[in-house]
Amino acid sequence: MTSWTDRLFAAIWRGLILFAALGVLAPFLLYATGAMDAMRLGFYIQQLVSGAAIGCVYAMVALGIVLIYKATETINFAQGDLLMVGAFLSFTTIGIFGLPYALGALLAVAAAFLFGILCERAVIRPLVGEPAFSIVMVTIGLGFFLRALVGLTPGWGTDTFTIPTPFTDHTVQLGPAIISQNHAAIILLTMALCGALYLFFAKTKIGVAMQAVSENQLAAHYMGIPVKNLFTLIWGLSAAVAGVAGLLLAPIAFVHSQMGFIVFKALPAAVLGGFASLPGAIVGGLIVGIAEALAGFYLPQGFKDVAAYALLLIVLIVKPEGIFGESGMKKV
Amino acid sequence: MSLLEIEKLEMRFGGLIALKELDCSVEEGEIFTIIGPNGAGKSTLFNIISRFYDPFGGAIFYRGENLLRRPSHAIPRLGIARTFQNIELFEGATVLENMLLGRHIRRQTGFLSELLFLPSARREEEAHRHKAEEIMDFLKLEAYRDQRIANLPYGVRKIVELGRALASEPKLLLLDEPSSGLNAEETRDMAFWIHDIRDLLGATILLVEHDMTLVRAVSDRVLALNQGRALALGSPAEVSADKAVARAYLGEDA
Repeated sequence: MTSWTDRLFAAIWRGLILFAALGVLAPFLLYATGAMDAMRLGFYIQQLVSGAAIGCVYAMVALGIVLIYKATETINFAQGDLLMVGAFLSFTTIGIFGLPYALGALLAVAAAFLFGILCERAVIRPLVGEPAFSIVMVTIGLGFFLRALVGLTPGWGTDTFTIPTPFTDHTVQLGPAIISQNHAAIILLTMALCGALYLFFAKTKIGVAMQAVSENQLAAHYMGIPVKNLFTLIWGLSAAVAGVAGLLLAPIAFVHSQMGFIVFKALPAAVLGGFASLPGAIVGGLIVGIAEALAGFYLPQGFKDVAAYALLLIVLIVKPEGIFGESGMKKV
Repeated sequence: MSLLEIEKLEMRFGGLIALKELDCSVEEGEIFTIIGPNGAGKSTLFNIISRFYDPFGGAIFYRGENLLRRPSHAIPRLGIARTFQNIELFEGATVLENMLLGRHIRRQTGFLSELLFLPSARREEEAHRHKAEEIMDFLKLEAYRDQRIANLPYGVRKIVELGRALASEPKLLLLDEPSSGLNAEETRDMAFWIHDIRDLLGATILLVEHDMTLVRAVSDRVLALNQGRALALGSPAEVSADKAVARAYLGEDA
C-alpha cells in the first residue's frame, strides 16, 4: 500500500538523483557548448578523480563495516583503527624493512587478515550471545586500545610517517586534467578488489557460506556451515580490506595513530548505501568522497567537512532505507 | 544395530522437565513418528539430535557413534538433515540457490579453482545443479526455480525446505511437523512424498506430527510422548487405541 507521502518522497528522490547527475555532468555540457574553457574543466575532472580516490578508501572501510554487520549484526566502530593498523603494517614492511612495494603490500594485507582474526578470537568471540549493544561498546573500546597500542609500539609511536610507493610524484594526463598516479592507483586497485570480492562471494564455497550465514544463521548451521568459524574469517576479511584501504590511503594522507577517525566518513557512506548492501557501501563511499572534494573546491571553507553529513541528512529524510537498502522494517 | 539409538535422554529447562529418561531406537529404512500434546518434548528431542541443545543426561548413538560428541555443524556431514516447524529458509535467495546451499557439505573443489572457475570447479557446479534440478523435479518445484523465497506462499516454502534437506542426500531425515500450515490436498502430497523419500531415496525418516491422518498414512511405528515421558510405542493403530494416549490428549475423564 502506498500512501501519497510515499509517492511524494519517491518523486523527490528521483528528482534528487536527476539533479545530482545533472550537477556532476554540468561542467562537461558547459564545456561542450563552449561556456567553460579546458583549464576549468581540467580542474573539475581533477576534483572528481581525487574525490573518487578518497571515496574509494571510505568505500573500503564502509565495506568492512557492512561485511561484519551483515554476518554478525554488530557494528564495528574499530574498523577505522583496523585501517590504521593496516597502514602501519604496510609502513613496516615497505618503509622500515624496505621490501619492494608489491611484496610488502601483500605481506601487510596478509598480516592485517591475521590481525582481524586475532581481534575476533580475543575480543569478540567471548561475547557471542551477549546483546549486540555490548559488542558494539567493545568495538569502541578496541579502537581506543589499538590507537594506544600503536602509539606505544617502538618504531611506530605517535609520529606521522609516509610510505614510499612507485606511484608517488608521478602524474598521468587525462584529457585536460592532470591526475596524480596515487589517485589513479587507488581507483584501479579498489576496482580490482571489488572484482575479487565479487568472485569470492559468488563462486567460492566459503563466500557462499558467508552469504548464507548473513541470511539465516540457524539454517546455515544445519547446512553444515561452521558459523562461528565463519565469523572469525569475516573479521579477517574485513581487516584485510581495511588493510588494503590503509595501504592505499597512506600515500595521500599520512600514516599516524589517529588516522582511524576516517571511520566517521565511512559510517555515513555505509548508511547512505543502505548499510546492509555491499555495492551500496561502495557507491556510498564514492558519493561521500566526490561530494567532499567538490564542496571543498567550489564552496566556501567549512563545507567540505559537513558535506558527508549534509548528504546523509537529505537521504535519510527522503529515502531512509538508503540508496540500495531494502524498504520495510527489520524482522524481529 | 539400529540407525539411531536414544538412551535415557534427559532434558530440563530450569525446573521444567522436557524429557525424562527417554529410550527409543529408530531402525534403518523406517518411518518413525513422534506424537504428543504441546510441550511433550517432541521438538526438544529434535533439537537435541541436531545438537542445538545439550541434554542433561543420556546418550544418542547414530550408527553406533555417539552423536553428542559432535558439534552442530558436523551433523549434516553425518547424513542427518532436518526441516523446521516454522521454516528456516534463506529468504533472499531463490529456490535453486536454497537447493544448492543444501548441497554445501557436498562441495569438494578447492578455493582457488572456485575463484578462477577452473574446469574442475565447473564440472562440480554442473553436477550440483543437476542434483538440485532432480530434487526440484521430484517435488514439482520447477515452476518456482528462480523465484525468491520471500515471494512464495507458505505451502511452497514448506516443500522447498523439504527439498533443501533432501539436497544434502541424507540418510536420516528429521521432519518437524511437515503438515503444519498445509491444506488437505498439500498434506496428501506430503504423505506421498514422505513414502517416496523412503522408498526411492532410501532415507530413514523421523517425524514429529500432529495431523493424525498423515501419521496413520505414513508411519511404520509411532511413539507417543507426554511431559517428556514415553506413553506408548507401536503401530499407528496400536498407539491411537492406547488408553494412556487418549487421556493425555483429551484429559483424565476420557
